[in-house]
Amino acid sequence: MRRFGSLARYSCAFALVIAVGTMSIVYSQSPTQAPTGFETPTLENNHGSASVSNGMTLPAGETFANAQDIFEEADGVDGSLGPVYNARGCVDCHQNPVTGGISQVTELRVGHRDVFGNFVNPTIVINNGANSIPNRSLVNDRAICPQAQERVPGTENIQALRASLNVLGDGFVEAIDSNTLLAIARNQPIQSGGRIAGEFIQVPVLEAPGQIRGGRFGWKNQQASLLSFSADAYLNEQGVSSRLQPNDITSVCKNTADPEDQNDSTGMADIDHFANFMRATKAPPIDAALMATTAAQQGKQIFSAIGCSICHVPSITTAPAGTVINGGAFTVPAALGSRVINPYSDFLLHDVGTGDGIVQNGPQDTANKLRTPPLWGLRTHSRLMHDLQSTTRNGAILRHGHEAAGVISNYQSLSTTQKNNLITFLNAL
Amino acid sequence: MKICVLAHVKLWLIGSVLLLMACDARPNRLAEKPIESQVWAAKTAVVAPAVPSPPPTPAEIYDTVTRVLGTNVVVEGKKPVALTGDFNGDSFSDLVVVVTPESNKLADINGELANWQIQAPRRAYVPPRSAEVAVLPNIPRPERVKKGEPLLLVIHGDGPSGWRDPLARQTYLLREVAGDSLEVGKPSAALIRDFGQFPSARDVICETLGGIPGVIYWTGASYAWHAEEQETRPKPRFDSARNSTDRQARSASIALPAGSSH
Repeated sequence: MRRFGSLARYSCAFALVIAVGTMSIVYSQSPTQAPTGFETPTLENNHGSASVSNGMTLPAGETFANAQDIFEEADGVDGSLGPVYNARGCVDCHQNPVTGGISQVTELRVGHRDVFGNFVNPTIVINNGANSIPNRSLVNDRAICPQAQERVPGTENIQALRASLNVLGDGFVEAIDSNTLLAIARNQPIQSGGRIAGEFIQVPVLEAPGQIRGGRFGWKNQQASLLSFSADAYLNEQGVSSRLQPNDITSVCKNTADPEDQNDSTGMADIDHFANFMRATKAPPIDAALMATTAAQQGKQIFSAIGCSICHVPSITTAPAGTVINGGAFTVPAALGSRVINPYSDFLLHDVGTGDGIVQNGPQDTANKLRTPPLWGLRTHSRLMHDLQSTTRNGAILRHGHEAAGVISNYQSLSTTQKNNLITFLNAL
Repeated sequence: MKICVLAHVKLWLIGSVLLLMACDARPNRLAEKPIESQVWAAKTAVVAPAVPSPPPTPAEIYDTVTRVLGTNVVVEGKKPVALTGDFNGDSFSDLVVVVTPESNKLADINGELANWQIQAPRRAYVPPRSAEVAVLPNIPRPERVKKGEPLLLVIHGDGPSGWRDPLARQTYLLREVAGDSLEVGKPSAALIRDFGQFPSARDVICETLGGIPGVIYWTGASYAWHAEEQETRPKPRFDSARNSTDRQARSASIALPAGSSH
């Protein structure tokens, strides 16, 4: 009996442990707000030394400052830059107001349609006709020698400018389960009476050959993982080949061997450092003081009430920590898992009447569709929309049509005060 | 007694498992569930029209302008000057009407949050063709409608009903381009040479402006003016879409506002 009493006491103590353990499990799975902040200042010296990451544990040998330093590194003609390129370093296009943000830089894409109406990538002749760059819509604005300079052929009647995008907080975007994006897409026609229907596409994950995943990066959702995006941008924007994009765009004026991006002393290549930097950045923050105003709060309500939030989704929760994504090539770390982010995007493709006619990784019907641009960090943008051709918030809103026509009609029915409140809300993002 | 002991053992076992799960530093092994379809998109309710829409009646024009702009502008004459065509290349019929601003509504028309965009096609930015580096211009100053100046009002259509659809409210007020001999046309060889072929079939607004023939065309972001060389324009695709009575009403030229010749 005494022995049983002792057992009972131990059991009581253990019941407490059970309760604590259960709470720990529940707590570890409960979504929490993702950290935000513009905390990667672009410094002239000691790049990255004043930066603060989102807390993600980086691979052995890596630091956040080092990853940012390599993100800001400028390649040169004495190294692996080019032969054709748009910029010398990632930071040239992703910098405002801090490294990883947006910029005023646009890139040029061209192409044409065949007799069936399908988009066709151009073949761009260079070096006075001696060489050509086939099957590529991107036309680089720069080259390391005159012979390699690309020019738009007269046959390419589809020409589009596209702004470079923010990459801050993209680690959280990568950690969104593809099924979450698909669920948003499936719900949109129900929310909008069939007018709005985001297109979800799956694209190859370069680091997991044969695997596909929901696209979410780039104006056409042409990439699904940050490592794939890094390799793509490194080749196409800076002309640096890597293990995932092993062949340079042209051999004209080329004096380096492919792949150019080799592992350094940490055992990682530049594309790994780029991905590490993007994954470890905080999400763009709101202007808390402005957001707390009555005007912004009312604007926030109007934003949802008139339907903006059907596509500019205010809140998405990332996949739990430990989820294997990117075709098995990446596991969501604790810092990125089960995080609530406020991107104001659905990361789906839509036709709002501003489409550029270009097809990349998606099917032909994506020619005039663009990814809903995330509105986080919007207050740092002076020019708006994919082509930067809108200079006011009102003008950008009024450019939305087609799928968004009903929502814009709702906007046009607002009073001036309500519109002002809505724009105050946008200016707080 | 035996049952009680067993219950406690069970409790210990469950507790041990939970404790181990809670203490496990490794994240749980989960995987993104594969999605079978490579592409998923629902059909939208908006579909392209099967046949061109009939020409507008004066009553329809008055009603549409009132629906979109209220009483801020006046439609000229009893037989308004109007054109219909697909000017932005989305396959939906758009409406163009010559209007003048109500003099006591200029503040509303030029309002920062107005429901329309005021543009000056003669000052529109068009990226240079075949340029290796295109530098965007400085942000232009906002265009402001002046008292009494004639404007081209463009209402983009939405869906099969085009500009007649109640949701068709995307509106542009074009300054300094309300010229003579307004007609619907197709992009000329000169325009295609200078701008490049358009990504989709579309109409252009042909007119004579200050004695110079030219066209107003949609760049994808704004309306722009292109002075045409003297050449034969392609025949309009939607000849029937143009209001034939407008041609007679259009015989009198509209005076250009000051400063519009540059």
